[in-house]
Amino acid sequence: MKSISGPLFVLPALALIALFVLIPFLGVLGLSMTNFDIYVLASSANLHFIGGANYVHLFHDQAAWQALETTLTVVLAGVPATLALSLICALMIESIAPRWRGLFRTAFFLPVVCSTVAVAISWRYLLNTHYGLINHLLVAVDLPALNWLGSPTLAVIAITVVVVWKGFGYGMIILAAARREIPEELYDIARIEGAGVRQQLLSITVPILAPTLGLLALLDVAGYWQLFAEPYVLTQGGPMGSTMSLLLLMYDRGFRWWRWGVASALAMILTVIMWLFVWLQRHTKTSWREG
Amino acid sequence: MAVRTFLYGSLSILAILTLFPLLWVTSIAFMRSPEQSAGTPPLWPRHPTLHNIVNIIQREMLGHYFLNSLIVAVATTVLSTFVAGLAGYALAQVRFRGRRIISWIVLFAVLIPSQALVLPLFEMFREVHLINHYAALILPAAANPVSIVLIQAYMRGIPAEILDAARMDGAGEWQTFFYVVVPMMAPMLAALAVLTFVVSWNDFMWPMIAMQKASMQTLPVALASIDREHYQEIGLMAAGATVTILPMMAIFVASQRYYLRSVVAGSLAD
Repeated sequence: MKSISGPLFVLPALALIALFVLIPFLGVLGLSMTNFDIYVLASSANLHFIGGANYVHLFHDQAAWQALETTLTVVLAGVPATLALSLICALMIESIAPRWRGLFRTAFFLPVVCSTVAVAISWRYLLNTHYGLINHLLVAVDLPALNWLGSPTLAVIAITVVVVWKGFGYGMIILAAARREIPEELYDIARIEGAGVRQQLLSITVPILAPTLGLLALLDVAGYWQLFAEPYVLTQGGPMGSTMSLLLLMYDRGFRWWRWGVASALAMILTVIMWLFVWLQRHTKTSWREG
Repeated sequence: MAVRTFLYGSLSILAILTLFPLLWVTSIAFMRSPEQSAGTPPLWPRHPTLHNIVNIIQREMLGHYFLNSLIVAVATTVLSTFVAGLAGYALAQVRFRGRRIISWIVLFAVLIPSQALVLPLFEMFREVHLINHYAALILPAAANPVSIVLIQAYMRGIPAEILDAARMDGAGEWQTFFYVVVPMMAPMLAALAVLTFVVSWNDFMWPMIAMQKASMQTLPVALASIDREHYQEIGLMAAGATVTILPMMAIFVASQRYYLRSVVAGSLAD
C-alpha cells in the first residue's frame, strides 16, 4: 500500500525528535567546542570556537575525574547487585504458588514507580546519623553509629544502596516473565537425569536467561549512568565532592557557574561512554552466541 | 517443606525491607512533632494527626504543584502516545520512501541520553520565551523514540492481511488507523500511556531547569526546593514525600496489568 499517509503519520514524531533530540544533540556537540560562558551570555560577540580546549580542561580537572570515578563506582557496584537481586527475587517468585506471586511482585516493584526525590527524602531519615533508624539498629546491637552521608566512602555506598533498592524491581518483573517462557520439560528431563537444584540453575535457567540479563545490564547501566536526583537530594554532591555524579557536575558547571562550554563537553563525554557500554554489551552478546 | 518455608520466609523478609522506606515515611507523615523529633521516630504514630499533610498542602501550596504535575503528565501522555502510535504503525505497516532511514533515526535517538541535552534545550526554549510554560516540559517529553520502537515492534507482529482487508473495504488511511489499528494496539497503547505518565510525574532534572518560576514547578521540583529550606522539619517533608508517591503507587496498583506488560514488552522488543 503506497500513499502519502506514511510520511504524514511519521511527520509529527520525526519533527519532535528532530527538534528536541537531534538538534539539541548537535547543540551539545557544538557548544562543547566553544567558550560559551557567562560573558557570552551577556554578549554573543564574545563567543569563540575553541576546538577541544574544554576537553583538555576537563582532562586536568580533578573534579571531573572524581565525578567519573563516583559514577563508575555506582554503576559497577550497583548494576551487578541489582541484577543479582532481580534474578533471586524473580526465581523465588516463580517457585511459589501463583496466587501469592502478584503480592510479592507488587511489593518489589513499588519503589520503581516512586519519585526519586521523594524516596531520597525517605532514605535520609533511615540514614540520618542522629535519629536514623539504621544507626538506631546498629547501636541496639552494640555497633558504632555511622555517619552515612557525612563520610565520602559511606555516602557512595549509601547512594548505591538507594539506587539498587529503587531499581531491582524492574529487572525482577522482566526476568520473571522470561523465566515463565522456559518450558518445564527441560527441568523434568534434568530431574530425571539426576540434576540437583543448583545444577538445574546453572545449566538451564542462567544460560537461557543470559540474553535477558545482558539486556537488563545495559538498561541498568544506561539508567545508573545518569545518576542525578539521589545525590542532589541526599548529599548535594558532598562530602568533599565524593558523591558528585557526572550529570550533577554538568548541572553545577552549567546552571550554577554558567560555564556551558565545559558542561557540554561533560555531556558529550557522558554520552560517548554510554555508547561504549552499548557497544560492549552488543559485542559480548555476539561472542556468547558464537561461543 | 523446609524449602517452601525458606522461600516464603525470605520473600517476605525482602518484601518488608523493600516496602519499609515507603511505609515509614508515610507513617512519619501522620506523626505529631514531638514523636518525630525526640530521637528515632517510632514505627507507628501513637496519636495520628493530619497536621503535617494540612501544613504541606496549605502552607507550602502542594496542591498547586500537584495540579502542575497533573497537567504536564496528562498532556505529555496524550501527545506522546498519539504521536508514537501514528509513527510506530506507519513505520511497521505502511510502505513509503524513507521508511528505513527514519527507523534508523529513531533508533539513534534512543541512544542519546535525554538528560545530556538540557543545556541547548534551555537555550532553545529561552529563545522562544517558553521557559516557565507547560510546553517546555510537554514537548520534549513527547519526543519519545522508545515508545515508537516498542509500538513498531508490536505492530510488526500483526498480519498485514487484516489491514489490507480494511483498506480494500474502501477505508482511507486515517479511518483504517482509528477504526482498525488503534483498537488492535489498544493494550500496548494503554501500557505505554501508564509508563509515560509515571515517568513524566517523576521527572526531575529538566523540570527543575525549565521551571525557574516557583509557581510553575512540578511536585518533585517543588518538593526538592521545599526540602532545601525545611529539611529539619521531618514531619512536613515526610508529608510532602507521601503526597508525591501515593498517587503513583495507587495508579500502579490499579493498572499493574497494563503497566507490567509495557515493562516486559520494553525488554523483549530488543
